[in-house]
Amino acid sequence: MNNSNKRDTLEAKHQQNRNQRLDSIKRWVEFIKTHDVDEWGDQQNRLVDSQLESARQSELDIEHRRQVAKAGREHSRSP
Amino acid sequence: MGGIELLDGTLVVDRDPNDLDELAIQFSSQLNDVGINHVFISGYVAILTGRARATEDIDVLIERTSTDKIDQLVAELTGEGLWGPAMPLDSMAEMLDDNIWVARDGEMVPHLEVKFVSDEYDRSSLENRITAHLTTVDAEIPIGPLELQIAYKLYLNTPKDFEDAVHIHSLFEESLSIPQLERWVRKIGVEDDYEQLKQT
Repeated sequence: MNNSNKRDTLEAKHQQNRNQRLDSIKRWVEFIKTHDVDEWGDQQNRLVDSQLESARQSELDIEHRRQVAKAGREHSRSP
Repeated sequence: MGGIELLDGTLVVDRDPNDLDELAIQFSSQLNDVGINHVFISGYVAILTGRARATEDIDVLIERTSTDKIDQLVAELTGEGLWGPAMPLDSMAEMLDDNIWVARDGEMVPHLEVKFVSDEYDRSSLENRITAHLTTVDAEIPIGPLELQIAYKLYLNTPKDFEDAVHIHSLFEESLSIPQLERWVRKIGVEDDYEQLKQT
């Protein structure tokens, strides 16, 4: 496979992943719209609180966290 | 809709607060005590509206204010068990043109990223802020208007930001002000991304 074909394959995979993620967001919105708040709220809060707990337990130092945050801000404003 | 609605310019959230909400509510109450106008924006707003993801930082913009008021705020924050994990809160007045982190004492996540309003989009978020009412704890916090949040997320243009925009747009498509949204889309210059959003 030449470089151009490899790139096309990666692009197609990337697009497929992106579409799957967007589909899952729409499905979640539909779940919120059609289910009781106790059902979706509890699921969302467990996800949020558990991710924060994992982050708390990691031993990344403050400088690393600030560098990552800064890089993210700079990247997000790139064209 | 199950427990989240945009009603007459108020976001009504009926779910229990999570860790992020609790920190935002506490900080907002302290800013109110000192009399500093503020607004929560960006990823936290998407999460408040039910987006199924977490964030380590809660972005909050505050109006430019006197050094005395900032000192008063710092005293209040430290008295209530908050600290500056990146730098001492005492340096808040000088650091707010960049941003300063505020977190629960000894913790780094989650933290608030606090900064002064600095451009017209920040100012619009502050001036046109709406109220989010968390009904289970009867707390209110100010958040940026959802239409501007969507347009700005499209401008930021990362997958995560586009997904946040899709979430807010899909959830509130019947209650958002489309003229207001389209005005922001044109002003920020994200017409193509908006077309893509509508087709998603």
